[in-house]
Amino acid sequence: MSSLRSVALCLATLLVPSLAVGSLVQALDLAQLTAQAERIVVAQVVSTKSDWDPSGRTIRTRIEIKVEEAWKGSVAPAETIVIVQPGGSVGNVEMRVHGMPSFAPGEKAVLFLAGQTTARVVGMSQGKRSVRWDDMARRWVAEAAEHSAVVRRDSQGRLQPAPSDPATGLDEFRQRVRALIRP
Amino acid sequence: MKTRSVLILTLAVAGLPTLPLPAAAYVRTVTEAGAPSAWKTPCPTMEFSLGAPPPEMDAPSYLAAAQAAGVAWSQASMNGIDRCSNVIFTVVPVPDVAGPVGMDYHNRLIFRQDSFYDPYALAITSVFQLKNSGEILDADLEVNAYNFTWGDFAAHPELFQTNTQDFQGTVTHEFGHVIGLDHTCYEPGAAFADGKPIPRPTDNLGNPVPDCSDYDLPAVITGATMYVSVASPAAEVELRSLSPDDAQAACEIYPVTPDFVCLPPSGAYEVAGGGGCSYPAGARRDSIACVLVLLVMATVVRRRR
Repeated sequence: MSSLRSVALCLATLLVPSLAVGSLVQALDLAQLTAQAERIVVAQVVSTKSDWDPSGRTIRTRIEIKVEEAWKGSVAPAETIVIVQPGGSVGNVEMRVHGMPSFAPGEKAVLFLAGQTTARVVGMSQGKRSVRWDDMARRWVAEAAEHSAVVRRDSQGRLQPAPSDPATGLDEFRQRVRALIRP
Repeated sequence: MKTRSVLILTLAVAGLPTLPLPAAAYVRTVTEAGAPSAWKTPCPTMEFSLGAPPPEMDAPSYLAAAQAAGVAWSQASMNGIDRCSNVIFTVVPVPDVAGPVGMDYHNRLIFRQDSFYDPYALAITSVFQLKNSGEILDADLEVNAYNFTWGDFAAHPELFQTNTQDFQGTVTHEFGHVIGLDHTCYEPGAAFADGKPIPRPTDNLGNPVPDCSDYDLPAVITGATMYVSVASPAAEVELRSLSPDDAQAACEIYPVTPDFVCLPPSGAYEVAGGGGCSYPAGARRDSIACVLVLLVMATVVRRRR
């Protein structure tokens, strides 16, 4: 058994990757995400709308969210925040940007946001944790982050695929984040 | 004895990735409408803004690295056929410091040195394509030289221990996206920008693409330039060379034809509220590109000799 484990470890060392993706994003742990975010909120997605920017060259998507809880930053309950990010589709044209978080109307999420007038999600897909109701456990759960293209540095400074923070109860997640906000 | 057996077995298996591997499968990018992405005529010309490149390498070195990445796709070979794809990937230097990214039929390769959309992103590739047909119209690659440094691991392997990334290997991989290839493994949770989940893709054989997090992925998947990541300094440099699967993709999606001529994209696109249609503007540029890439390829062949 230990031999098999040794082989597996050796092979894992040989085969486990470091990176090179459509969009490459350096991994942030929860402490870094919390520190980098100007606002951290639990919010519901009200709408998403993609359009061409004024130059007619780039498609951007505006995501309107309604705040349910504010964990960090000056945010009023029920405040509406607009997130703007590159990518989306208009008519028959699609602009694909790998690594951007996705949003669907009605969806609930914990969001780590930077920027005041218009917000962006910190660390691209890492700063969004979808929230769902777990009927069996009778509690809200913060899902693992969408983790496409996220990498971390190892002790030698090399980039490696980063494991995503696993799904966790929303109450527990709130406590962890708030503990990180307190000095 | 047990340890020795383990060591022998490990070394034996470790040698496998260095052996030539048969082509197995590749994965194409599909649009929201399910159409596989592809250029109508596969002659993307990347305009490389080299007006003031990052100081780690000089402009000719950056250009040579990017051109070599293009040549790798242009010289795809399979089953003993030296060049079996019509892909003609050209990188031409332009004197801009950083041109604008967007749907303008100019494919750009840009270093961002003053700011970047997200300080934790190393590079962002944007591909414009027609949703219904999958025709790729434009692709831009922005490299984050504001928060990261870029270098040449083949010439300077010691850089691997630093914050530096291998420029040529990364660009070769990104160019795979530019011609419509997706990763050889799947990242659950990925979705289109408007929130529609990207369904688990299938490879060219119709098989579901495995999760990237699977630790028992076969070498044909992890050894591909289009794999989501690489394993070592050598492997990072190996991104520069196509695996049999990568070559098969280029050769099957864009099979070589005797009278092939580079033409600009055919698809017109509507700009909502923008007052009408825009049309391709790079026809002559792409014809010139064909000549340029042949010159580059000739230079590379001569150097190898």
